[in-house]
Amino acid sequence: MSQLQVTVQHHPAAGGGDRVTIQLAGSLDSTTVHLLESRLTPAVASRPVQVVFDLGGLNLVTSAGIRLFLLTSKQQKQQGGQVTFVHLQPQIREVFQIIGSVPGTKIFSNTAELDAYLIARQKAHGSGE
Amino acid sequence: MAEPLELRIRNRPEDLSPAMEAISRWLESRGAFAGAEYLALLAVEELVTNCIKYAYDDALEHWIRVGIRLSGDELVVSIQDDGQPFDPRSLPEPDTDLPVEDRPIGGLGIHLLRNLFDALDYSRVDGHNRVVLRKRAAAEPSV
Repeated sequence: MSQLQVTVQHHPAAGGGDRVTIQLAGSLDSTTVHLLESRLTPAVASRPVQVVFDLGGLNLVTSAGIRLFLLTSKQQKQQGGQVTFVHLQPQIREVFQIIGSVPGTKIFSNTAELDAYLIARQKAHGSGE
Repeated sequence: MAEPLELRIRNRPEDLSPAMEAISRWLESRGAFAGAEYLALLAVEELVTNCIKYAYDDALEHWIRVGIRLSGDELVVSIQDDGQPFDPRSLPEPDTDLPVEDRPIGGLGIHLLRNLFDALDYSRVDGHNRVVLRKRAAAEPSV
């Protein structure tokens, strides 16, 4: 059986609002994508300002999983939220490179890099007001 | 040349996972090059899923044949089915001028395989589609 573990955590985002981290482990493919879909819907119901996919434990992602990532990115962008990806293993990074950059989406090596970006973004946003 | 792994997968989604497990075990036991397992699993998942979803317009049982071979530093994945003719090379490359989110989502899997593998060949023989994918291990850095 190909398997997928999905762990959802909610945190307050640095600049207010909700930050949702979705940790994935195992294989995100045509047989497991429905599990992520069913966990995503309630996870983003609060209209989080940031959705972070932590792919550190993911060892396979197929086009079925990529489609869901693209759809989620599109929906979040429409709602003013942002989707980020952290901890991509080399082969998953290669898959993302082939797909091309997704508007409203960013990829980070680790959570420290992600946090630094979000804090900088928050500061820039704050100083603009 | 080492013996290839040959599998027959029934055209039922639930039959895919055990086949993928068998491929993982086989490649691990043969010390395949780094990345070979990912490529083989991706190819089988994308192509067999396509086949199960689109190749048959009857409700009958069909068998999809999968072959995995390691010869030297090359991984060869072959997929053969008796479904409707479908040449994956006939799919147009995605329009890269469009933002990713606005591109049609069909053909994404084939697009990945064409870019990740060195070669994707197709032939139609005796009422069967046969797709063969090849990938050489990345060369050792020269000294």
